[in-house]
Amino acid sequence: MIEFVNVHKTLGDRKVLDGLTFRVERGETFVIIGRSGCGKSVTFKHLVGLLKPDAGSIRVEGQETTRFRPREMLELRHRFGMLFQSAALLNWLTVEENVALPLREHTRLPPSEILLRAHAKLDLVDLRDAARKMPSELSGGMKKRAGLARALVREPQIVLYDEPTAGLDPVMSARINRLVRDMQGRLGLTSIMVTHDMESAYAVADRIGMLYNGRLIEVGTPDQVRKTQNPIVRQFITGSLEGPLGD
Amino acid sequence: MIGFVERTGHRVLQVASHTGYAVLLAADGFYWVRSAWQKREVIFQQVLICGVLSLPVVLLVAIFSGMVLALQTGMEMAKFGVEGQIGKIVAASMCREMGPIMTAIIIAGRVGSAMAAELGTMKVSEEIDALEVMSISPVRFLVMPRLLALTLMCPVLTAYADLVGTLGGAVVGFYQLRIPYPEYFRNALDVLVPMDIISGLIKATVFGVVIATVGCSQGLQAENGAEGVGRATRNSVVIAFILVIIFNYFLTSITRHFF
Ligand SMILES: Nc1ncnc2c1ncn2[C@@H]1O[C@H](COP(=O)(O)OP(=O)(O)O)[C@@H](O)[C@H]1O
Ligand SMILES: [Mg+2]
Repeated sequence: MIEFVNVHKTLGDRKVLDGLTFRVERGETFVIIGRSGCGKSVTFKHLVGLLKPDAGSIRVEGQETTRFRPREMLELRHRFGMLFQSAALLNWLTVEENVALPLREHTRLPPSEILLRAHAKLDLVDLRDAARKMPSELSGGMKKRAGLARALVREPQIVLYDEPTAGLDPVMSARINRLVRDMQGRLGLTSIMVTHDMESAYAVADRIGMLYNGRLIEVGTPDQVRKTQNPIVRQFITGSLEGPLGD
Repeated sequence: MIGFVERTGHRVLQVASHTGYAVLLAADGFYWVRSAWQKREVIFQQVLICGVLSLPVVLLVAIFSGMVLALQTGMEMAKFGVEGQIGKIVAASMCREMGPIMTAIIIAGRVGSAMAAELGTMKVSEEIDALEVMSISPVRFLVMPRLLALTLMCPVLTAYADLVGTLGGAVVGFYQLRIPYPEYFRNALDVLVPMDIISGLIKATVFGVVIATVGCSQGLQAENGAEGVGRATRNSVVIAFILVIIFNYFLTSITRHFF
């Protein structure tokens, strides 16, 4: 279970999170939608301790992570897998080396076993053919999928997806959506996805929350969100030009 | 006036915090040397990049430094008819001052800046964050191999520069000042006590630590995309130059005091 309670964060001179509160149950897939620059990635960075809130509390399985010491934070992060928005592959390692990296650094498995597991995850995202390529040879969507394989390779309990379908073609997006659903179904993972791709949000979410001005202005099941009365949410999900959202 | 005080104060705090960060980073980096064996491949790669690939530049710079040194001082000494002693001057100044400083400046420009650019690019493209989330210490993974490689290679390159510079002086001595090689080298060996060479190599070791620390810490603190990486790279060179020159003075005065 993951819980944000009244989290505030100012970056530079901008109040990015302003009383953000939400709760994600174990085994749930929660999707946060919102416009670019509204603080979705910043929310993730708080969850994994890369940023500390100015005020408020963040709890994972009941533990207050904002007061964690570095060692405890290290332990916590073992439970997380995170796909970064930019994929964040190390550019001097091949795709398979990137995916294998967490295992290589944290386990004593023999190299052949590590490679086997890395390839299994690459199969999952349909990148097996690109295993020996360097990240610079990949398209944006392929990098994303490689990042996804790397996030999953340690079999985490909680997976964070930062815009997993951005830059992917519709077929591949559908594949990724199904992958996210599958893993939740099979492994009981807790997943949080950040996206502004509504199709993907509807496809994977148990619940959707819309981040606006630093807090969630609406939380509900995909059906509830589809029928929302909130004009801001309505404008965002329908992608219309007319409405309360400025430019 | 208030604005000035405020800005100066802000700047001082900033420098203090950067310095603190760099010192802690170096300490952390040396702490992780205990996993040097696991990271031997990366360390070897860094040794290659910063050591071996710097050899040609060091060769050129050192040889011409030794040559100009012999030329300038030799011409003056010829006025007093003591140009035969030129080997002493060249060897002593190469080993004590020129070798370490020249090498440090080349390394700061060639290797330190590359470290800042590389780590800076990783920082602004979230790769450092990704390492942290994977519970992989960026210091162990990235900083330690660079720090260790430079700390080891700086004295090696310096010894090489000392040697090459002295040889350069010999060539000028022979062709311009008509000093036979045996005389030159006898003089050179005459004046050199082991401490001259050792003190130069100690300096070089310190410079290696300084350059790697500045490069890595600037890189890891880069912000704001490509522009920030550019700034980190530039700062790393300027700061490393300044620190090397300052450290050089104090290291000289310490070694002179004790030996
Ligand atoms: N390290 C930082 N320093 C200053 N401002 C930041 C930093 N990281 C993010 N921001 C700002 O916070 C806001 C939210 O960013 P982000 O969470 O990346 O947006 P998105 O919802 O598109 O993921 C943006 O306005 C961004 O400029
Ligand atoms: Mg984002």
